Amino acid sequence: MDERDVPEQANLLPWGSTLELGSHKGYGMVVIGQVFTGILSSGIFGLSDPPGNSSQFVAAFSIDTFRDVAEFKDSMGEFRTFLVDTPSAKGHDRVVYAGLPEDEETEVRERDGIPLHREVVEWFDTAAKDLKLQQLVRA
Amino acid sequence: MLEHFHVPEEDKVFVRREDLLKTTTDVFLAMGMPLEDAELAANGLITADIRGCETHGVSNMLRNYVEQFREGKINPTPNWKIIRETSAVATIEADRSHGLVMCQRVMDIAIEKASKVGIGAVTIQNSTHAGMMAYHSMRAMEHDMIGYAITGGGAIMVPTYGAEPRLGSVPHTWVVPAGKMPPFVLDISSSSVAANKIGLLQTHRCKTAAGIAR
Repeated sequence: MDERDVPEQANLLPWGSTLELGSHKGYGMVVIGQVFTGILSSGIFGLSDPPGNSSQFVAAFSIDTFRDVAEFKDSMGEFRTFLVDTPSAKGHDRVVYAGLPEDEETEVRERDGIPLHREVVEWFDTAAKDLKLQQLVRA
Repeated sequence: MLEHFHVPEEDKVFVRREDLLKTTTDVFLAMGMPLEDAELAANGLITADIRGCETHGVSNMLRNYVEQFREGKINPTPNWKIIRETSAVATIEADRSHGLVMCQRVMDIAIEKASKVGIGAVTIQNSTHAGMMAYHSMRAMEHDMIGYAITGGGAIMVPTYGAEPRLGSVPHTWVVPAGKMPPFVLDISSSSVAANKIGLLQTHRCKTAAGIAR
């Protein structure tokens, strides 16, 4: 990896980074997201005023209004298998899909515990003292 | 998550999920949140940590939330309300609720609407940071529904060809139940990396890759 220091004031780039690599796609996804959150709700866009102000949008789609739920889940399972069974490219062990690595990591962390940075644990200890709470128990 | 975002081996301290959940809930209670809200918020952070998404877990977020409660930016006891509504949609005024709690409550409204008319869509104004957005989309999965959640606001990303930040990183999340297989859980920022990853790299004094930020 071409490594470099993280600037103190880092401005993020849209996904794609540069136009040649497709940054207009990330830029467009941000704009449409901002429409559904800040603009459709009469909320904010651009600079948060007051700072920390935010807008959200959520939606739920009931599967059984489109098709039988059990059949849908079977199809999703088949689709997953179809993707995971893709022959992997040179230098890679396998093909995954969104959510699979996190599902596997959950198993590991349920068994071994969650690894926190020691500095974070120190923050918990200070906060517990300040707020008169029980200290965070280490595994 | 890519290896360079993980906690360095020599700095790791392991904690159990239930212990982290208890202490984090206690911190939210100390900030003045009611128990049910404190539990929802803590569970959102620990859901991120247990899934290996520490950018949106306690490491990166809890101290920021504490600071925002202390500065009065997050309202621990909001009086949020529905300001416009039909059978399928609603608009919410959140009264500066904690976004982690507000989005859970609002996803419940969307689920209830979807159970009656097939789809529920809710937009929220005057909220605050909502944590890992997949946490909210995942709530719909428990009801055999596809969940979608996004958050906006802030100016930390430059538009293409732009020289100064005018946009938030706007994560889009979709969660699709898949029966016996792990669900499809897509949670992607619209920036090259999530804003919180930059914060995590700064906290851990790590380096970044070209093309992520400038």
